[in-house]
Amino acid sequence: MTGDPQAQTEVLLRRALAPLLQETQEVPNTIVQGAVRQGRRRRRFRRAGIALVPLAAAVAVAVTVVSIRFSATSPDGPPTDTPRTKGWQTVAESPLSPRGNPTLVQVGEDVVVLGGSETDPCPPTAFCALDPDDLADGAVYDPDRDVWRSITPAPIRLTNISTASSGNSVYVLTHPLSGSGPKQQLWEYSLTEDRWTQMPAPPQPMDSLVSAGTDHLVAYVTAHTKTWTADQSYDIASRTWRSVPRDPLAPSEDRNLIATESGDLVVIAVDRHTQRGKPTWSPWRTAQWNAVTKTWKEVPTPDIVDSGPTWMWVAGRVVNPTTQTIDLGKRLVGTGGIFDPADETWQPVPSAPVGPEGVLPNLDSAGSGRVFVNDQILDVRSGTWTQAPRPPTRFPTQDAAAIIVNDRLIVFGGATFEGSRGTLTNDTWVLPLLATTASPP
Amino acid sequence: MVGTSDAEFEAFVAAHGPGLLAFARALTANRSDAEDLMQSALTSAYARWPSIRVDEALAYVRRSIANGRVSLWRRRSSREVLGFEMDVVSYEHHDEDTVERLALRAALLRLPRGQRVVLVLRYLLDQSDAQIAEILGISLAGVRSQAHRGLKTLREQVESPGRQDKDEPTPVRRLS
Repeated sequence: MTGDPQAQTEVLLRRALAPLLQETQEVPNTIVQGAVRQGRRRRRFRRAGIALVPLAAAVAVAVTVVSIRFSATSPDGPPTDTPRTKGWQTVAESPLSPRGNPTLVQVGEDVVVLGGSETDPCPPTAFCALDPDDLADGAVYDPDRDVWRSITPAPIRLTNISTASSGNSVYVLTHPLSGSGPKQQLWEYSLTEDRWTQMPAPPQPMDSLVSAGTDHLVAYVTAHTKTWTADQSYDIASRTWRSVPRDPLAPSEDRNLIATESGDLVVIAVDRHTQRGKPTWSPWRTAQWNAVTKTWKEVPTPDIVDSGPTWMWVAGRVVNPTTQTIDLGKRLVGTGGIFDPADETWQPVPSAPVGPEGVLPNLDSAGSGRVFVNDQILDVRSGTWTQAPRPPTRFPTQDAAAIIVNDRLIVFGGATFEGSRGTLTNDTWVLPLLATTASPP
Repeated sequence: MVGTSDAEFEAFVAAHGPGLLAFARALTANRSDAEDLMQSALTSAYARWPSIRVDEALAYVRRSIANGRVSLWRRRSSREVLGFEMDVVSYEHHDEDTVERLALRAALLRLPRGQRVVLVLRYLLDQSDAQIAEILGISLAGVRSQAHRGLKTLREQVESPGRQDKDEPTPVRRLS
């Protein structure tokens, strides 16, 4: 090719595409009729959803929410009354393509959706390789106004990431899949400026990222598998990392690090396993970092053992909502609990009602004083459980992401299946969470 | 549905349908996929028609087509995900010009989605970069970046037809 190669490519492209306009003089009637037919069905569905809301609200007000007393240990008796919430609603169409496993982050009252994968969803019974083509784009959803806006795509694939938000920014910590790939990176996305900026990465590879106070992030490792590695605190203003002093539980595994709004840290973890291959039930242990005195101390922890689920920060408490109990032969022990770092006290998780099992995919999330787990909503302050309504048939059965923001459970993306054939969705579902009226126990 | 709305919708399709269908054709490998995509976008538009302003409808449907492409492909084989299953075309009886056009369209179909959408909006529908940014809800810089990368890849494809774009999607290996 001679001359300006880009201009020549542009000319060639125009010539290559122009015949398409000449070929399509009108839209076949079958397409328009099909769109009208399906569009009418979709409208009826939407109207039905809207009409149900006032009815559900009236019913919910009429229902007396039962306050469930905290019992000492086991959830052996389901409560007799199971309050229900308003139904699931679809909301404005997102500008994003259908995808699975996106990441949702709350920034202020908005929800930032990042990345995900467009790869065919993996059937529940199959084992699929990791997707090499994860997405780099994203969008912001304003639940109050039911409005979406796209954001500038990230300069990196948003795959295998850990996120935290502070101020009006989202921080993304990448996790390289292999030693030969790029090293771990930290990126800041500013909602105000719609801009991605690379920040200094932690000095050692870290597993997870949380925001601490209003001006710091903390990156931490989830297990001291071979040796102790210092967690890292990041000063957002100066863009510098500092090692967090060793906590009294180290070395430990299944580490959960929770940062409070005041910058205090709570680590809940189990001792490093010494007998590999032998199933054991390790007791949870707790340590607390005081941001003012800059000291760690171990806090007495009830007799609860690690069954896997993670701990979440909600309503000023650290919550593991699982109600499973383990028979250790001589005694029954719980697996979850609620820790209040303000007064260093523990409460057991209230007994949960027995609801339909396996109705929803894994949408565990926390926010607005509530925890959503296994189709149930726990109001942490009142100690009441509420059964989530059964979702409609179009609801994703896997690979969706969920977040609770401003009294709404918001679910985006995921896949539905017919047999082993999955279809990705870019639908957004919202479940308004009714305020429970129970008094604290 | 109010009759006026139906009439508005039909008038909208009559006025903009051919351009929208050409847009869908440029993004997909064959006529059948394009028509599926078009119908899906029009279905969304019709379902929301009373709440969409007529002057916003065109951008809405274009955006639906741009984003709806993937969901269509997800239902198909991995060959089509790569955009290789084009309408059957024999190069034997075409002149050099036609062969070049077809090769360029095939190369376009191998571009990542964002680049392809931007190039088609720019060079098929003659949209300005600002208009494209508004349609897709992305920044102006994002549009220009996607266009630049897409054109660069196309140029390389035209100059070295045997080479495939390094960003081209790779079929996922299913282990069981």
